[in-house]
Amino acid sequence: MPTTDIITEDFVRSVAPNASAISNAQKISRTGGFVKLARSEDKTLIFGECKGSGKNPYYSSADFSGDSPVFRCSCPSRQFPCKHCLAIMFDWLAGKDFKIEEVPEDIARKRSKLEAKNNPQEDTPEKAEKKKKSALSTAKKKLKKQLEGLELAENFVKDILGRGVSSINSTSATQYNSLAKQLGDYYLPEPQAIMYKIISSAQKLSTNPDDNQINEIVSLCIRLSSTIKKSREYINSKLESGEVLPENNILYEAMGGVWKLTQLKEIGLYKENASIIQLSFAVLFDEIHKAEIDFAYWIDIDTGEIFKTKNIRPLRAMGYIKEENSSFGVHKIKELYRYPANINNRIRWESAEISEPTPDTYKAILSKTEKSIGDAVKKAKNELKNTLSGNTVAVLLPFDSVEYSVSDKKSILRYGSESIELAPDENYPDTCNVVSVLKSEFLRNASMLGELFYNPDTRKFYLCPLSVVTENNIIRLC
Amino acid sequence: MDISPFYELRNRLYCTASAGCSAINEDFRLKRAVESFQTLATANKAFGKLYAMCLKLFESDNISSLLADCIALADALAVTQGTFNVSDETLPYENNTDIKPLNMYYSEYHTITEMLSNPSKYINLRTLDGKQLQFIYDPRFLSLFLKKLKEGTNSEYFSEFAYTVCRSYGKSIVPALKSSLDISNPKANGNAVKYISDICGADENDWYLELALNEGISPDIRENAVKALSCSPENTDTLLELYRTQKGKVKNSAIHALAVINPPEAEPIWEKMTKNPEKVSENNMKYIGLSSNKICSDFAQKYICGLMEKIEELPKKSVEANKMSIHLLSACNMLENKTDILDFILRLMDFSKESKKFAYYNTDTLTSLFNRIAVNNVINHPDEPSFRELAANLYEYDKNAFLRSEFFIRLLENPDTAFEIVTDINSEQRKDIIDILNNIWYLQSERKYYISPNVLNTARTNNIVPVFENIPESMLDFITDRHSAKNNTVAKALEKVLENIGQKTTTAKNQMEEKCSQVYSVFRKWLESCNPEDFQKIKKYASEFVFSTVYKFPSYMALWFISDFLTDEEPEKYKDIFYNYISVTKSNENQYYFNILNSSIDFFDKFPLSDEEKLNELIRIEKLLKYVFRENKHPANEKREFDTLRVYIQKYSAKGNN
Repeated sequence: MPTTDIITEDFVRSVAPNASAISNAQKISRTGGFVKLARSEDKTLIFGECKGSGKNPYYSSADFSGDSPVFRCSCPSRQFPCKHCLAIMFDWLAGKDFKIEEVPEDIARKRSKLEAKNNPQEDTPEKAEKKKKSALSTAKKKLKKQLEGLELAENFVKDILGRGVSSINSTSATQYNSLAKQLGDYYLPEPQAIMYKIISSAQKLSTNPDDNQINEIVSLCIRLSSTIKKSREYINSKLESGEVLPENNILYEAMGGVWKLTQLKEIGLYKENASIIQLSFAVLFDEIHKAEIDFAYWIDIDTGEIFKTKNIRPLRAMGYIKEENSSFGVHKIKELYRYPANINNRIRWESAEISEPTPDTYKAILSKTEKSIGDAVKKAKNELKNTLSGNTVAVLLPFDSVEYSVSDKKSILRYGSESIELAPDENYPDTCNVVSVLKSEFLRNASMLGELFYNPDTRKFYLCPLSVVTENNIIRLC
Repeated sequence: MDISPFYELRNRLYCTASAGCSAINEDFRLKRAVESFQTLATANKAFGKLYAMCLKLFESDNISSLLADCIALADALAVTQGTFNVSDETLPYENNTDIKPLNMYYSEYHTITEMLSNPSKYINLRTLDGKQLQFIYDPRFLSLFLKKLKEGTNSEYFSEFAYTVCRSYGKSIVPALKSSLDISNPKANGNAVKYISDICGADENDWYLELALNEGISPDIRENAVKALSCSPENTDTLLELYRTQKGKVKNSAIHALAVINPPEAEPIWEKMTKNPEKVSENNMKYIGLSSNKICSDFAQKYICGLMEKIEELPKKSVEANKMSIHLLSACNMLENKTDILDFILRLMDFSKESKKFAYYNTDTLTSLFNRIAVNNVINHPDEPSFRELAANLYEYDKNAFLRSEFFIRLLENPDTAFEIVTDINSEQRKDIIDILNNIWYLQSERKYYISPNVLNTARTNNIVPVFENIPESMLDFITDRHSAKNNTVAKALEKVLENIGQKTTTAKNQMEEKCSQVYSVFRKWLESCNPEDFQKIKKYASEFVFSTVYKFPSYMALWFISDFLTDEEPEKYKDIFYNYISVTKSNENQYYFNILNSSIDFFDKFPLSDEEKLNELIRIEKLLKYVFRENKHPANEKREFDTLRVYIQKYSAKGNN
C-alpha cells in the first residue's frame, strides 16, 4: 500500500494543476499557514488545518490509501488539488512535525465510499450483453458516418491538387473552410485539422513563395490523402468483419479517435510495473490544433524503449487543463498504458511512485542506447517512410565525442566510425547552440537523446539534440 | 548508381502538385523526368513501381489521387535513400565555461527565458531571486544569453544584467563570449568585447589589439576593442597611430581611449580639437568630458563662459536664449572628470540663479547634472581624492542642491554616515532620497545590493556599483520616518502636516499619500528580492509603517501591500482598514466614478479577520455606499459595486452559518 513515502518534490509538482498553485503552496508552507499537522499511524494519510481568509480554518488532507492519491480540502477553490493540499505535502517534505492521530471520521467515511465505487458489483450476463450490443451498434454507426466524411475530405484533396496549391484565393478559401467545417459532423477531427492547416498555410503564401513553403502544403495534402485512403480501407474491413471496436492500429488516432485507458487495457496495450524516467520536456505549440502541448520523452529503464507523453491544452480551454512540468525522478508505475505505434509510443498512467534516481539509474539508461548510428537511422527510415507517422523519431544514441566542423562550426556526433550532424528542428530551434556551450567533459563518452529527421533538400538524416545522459546526470538542452 | 533522376522526378511531382495536375498532359518537364527515370526503374523494384505509377498519371481519370500516391511513394523512397555520415574535418570542443546544469522545472526557467526574450521584460531581470539566479549557470541560459548578446540590444537593464552574469562567471565565460563574436559578419555588434574588458581589464590586451588592428572586421567590434585599449597606458602609441591612420568609429574610439588614459602625448589632439571653439562637435565635447587633461578643462570652462556671455546678450526667455541654454547644459557635460572646476561650477550655479536665463531648463536640471558628474567622478577615479574633495566642496557650498550626490557617495562609502546628512530635509528632498533608495536592488549571485548613478540624471551610464551586503537599520529608520521623529524640527514639521490633514488640506494629504505610496513601493521591491537575512527585518519595519499610517491614509497601494506581505499579524490590526479606505476614497468627489470596491475587495478577502467581522464591515460599507450613491447618481457603477458586495456578504454569511 502506498504511503507518504511517495511524496517527493517531483511528485508534488506532478500533481499540481499549474505553476502558480505550486508557488502559492510554497508560500503557505514557508509562512507556516498550517496551524495543525497530523498523520495516520500507518502513514497513508496526512491532514491538517490551514489558516484561510475565513473564520474557520480549511481542513486539508492527502490520502494515499488507495491506488491513486486522493486530495481533499474544505476551501472553495476550483483547482484540484488546491494550494492547501499541495502546501501540506510541502510541509511534509520540509520535515515539519506531524502528530499521529486517528483517521478523522469524515475521511474514514469517504474512504469506504470510494472503495465501494472502485469495486462496483459486476453486471449480470444479460446486462453485460446488452451493453456490448449497444457499444457495437454505436461504433458501427460512427464508422459509417466517418466513411461519408472521408468522401468530403477526398473531394477537397482532389480539388486542391487538381487546381494547384498556389491557386487558393480568398473565395476558394471560404468554400474550403465551410467544407472543413462540415467535416466536424463526421467524427473526423484529425483530417479536419489538417484541412484547416492546408487552407490557412495556402492563404499565408506570399506573392513569391519559396519551394519550402509550397512543399510543406503539398506534404500536408499527401498526408491527408493517405489518411483518407488508409482510413477507408480500415473502416471497410472493420464493417465487413463486424469487429467494429477500436484495435491496435494508429489509424484510430489518425482519424481523430481519442483512446480511453480502459480501451487500451482491453486490447492489451499496457505494461505492469514499469520504471520510467523523463529525458526531456518542452511546451510546444501545435498550430493545427491551436493548442499548447506539454511534450516529454521518457525512457523505460528496463527495456530502453523511448516513449512520449503529450498533454494537449487547447488555447480556448487553457485555464481548465492541468499543466505538466519537467520531472526528474524515477516513476514506478503499476499500469503503464501505451498508444498504438511502431516506435516512441505515447504513454499514460494514473498514478506513480516517484523516487530519486541513483547512479544505477543512469548506468541502466546508458546500457540501453542504440547499438550504432546506422541502426538508429534504419529504425527511423522504417518509421518515417510511413506517411501517417510524424516527421521525427526519438532515439538515444551513444557517442565517443561531439565535435565541431572546422569549415562551418556545425556540431557533429561521432561514434566509432560513424558520424551524424546535429541540427535544429522546428520544435527545438536552440538546442544545438546549447550543445556548443556545454563543458567539454559532457561531450565525451556519453549518450544523447535526440530526434532523428530527414531533410529532403540535403537528402540526409540529422539529429536534433534534446538531452545528454552522463553517468550521473541527465543534462537538459531544452 | 546515380539516382539523381529519381530526385528530379520527385521534384517535378511536387511542382505538378503546386501548379495543379489538371493540365498534366502538357507538363513536358514531368514527362521528361519520367523518361529519364526509366533506367533506374529497371534496376530497382521500388523505383519500377514508382515509374509504373507515374506513367499512369498521363492516362488516368483520377489524376489527383494518383499524383498523391506517386508523391507519397517518392517521399518514402527518398527517406530510404537518406544518408547520415559526415565527412567534414572536425575538432573537439574545448569549452571550460563554468556551467552547472540545473534540474530546474520548466515553468521556473521559462519565466527567466521569457524575460530575456522580451525587451519589455528586461527590467524584471533585476527581480530574479536566489534560486532563479542559479539558472544563469545552466547551459540553456548561457546559450540564450549569448544569442541575445549577439543580436545586440541597447537596453540599460539588459546591459546591467549582462555585467552581472559575466562577473558571476568570471574569466571562465571569456571563451564563450569570444565565440559569440561573429567576426565574419560586417554588421556584428561588439558588446562582448565590452563585457570581456570589464572582467579581464588589461589581461586581454593582446586580443583587443588584434581586433583593433584588424581592418577586415565589423566597425562595431573594432570600436569596442579600441575603447577597451584604455585599460593600459602601454597602448598609447597604438592608439595615437589609430588616431592618425583611421577614420570614423575607430578613430573616435581611439580618441575615447586616449581621453581615458590621458597621456601627455595626446595633448596635441586636445589642442587641435579645442583650437576652434566654433567647430567643436558634440562628439568632441564627449571626449573633452572624458579627459582630465588641463587643456580640456580650460577649454570647457572657456567655452561655457562664451555661452554664458551670449545668453546675457540675448532677450530674456526668447527662443534664441532657450536654444543657447540647452546648448550650455549639454556643454556642461565637458566638466566631467575635471578636478579644478569648483569655482567655475559655483559661478555657473550663481549665473543660473541670478540671470534666470535658463528659461527652458531650470536650475534644477543643472544641479542634477552636476550631482551626476560628482558621483561618476568618484566612481571612475576611486584612487584620486581630489574628485571626492570636489563633491564634498559642492555639498558644502549648497547643501540642498548637492544633497543627492553627497548622499549617494556616502552610501557607497559608509551607509550610516549617509543617513546622518538627511535628518533635516524637506519633503521634496526626502522624495529624492527615497527615489535613490528605490533604485537599490539585490543581486543574489553576488550576495550584494547594487545601485546605478542613472537615478541621478536622465543621462544613462553603464556603471553599476555594489553598495552593501545587508540593508542597514539606519536606512529603514529613514524610510519609515523613525529617525526624523527624533529630530524636533522635523517632528514639528510633520505635526504641522498632520494638522493640515486634519483640516483636510488637499495638498498636505496628497503629499502624505504620495509619500506612503513611495515607501510601499520600496518595501515591496525589497520584500520580493532581498538578502534572506534581511527579510524579517524589512518586514518588521514595513509592518510598523503600514499599520501606523493606513488608518489615516488608506490607499489601494496599502491594501495591496498588506494582502501580499502582511497577512499574519494580529486580527485586531485589520479592523476598519477596508471601511476607512472605501469611505475616504468615496468622499473624494473625483473617485466615486470608479469601481473602488470591485478592484480592492480581493485584498480585503485575504485579511485574517473572522467571517463575522468581515461581514459586519461589509454591511457598514453597504450602508455607506447607499448614502453615497443617493447623493451622486451613477447607476451602472452602483449596480456593479452592490453586486460585488452582495456576493461577498453571502460568502461570509454562508460560512458563518456553517
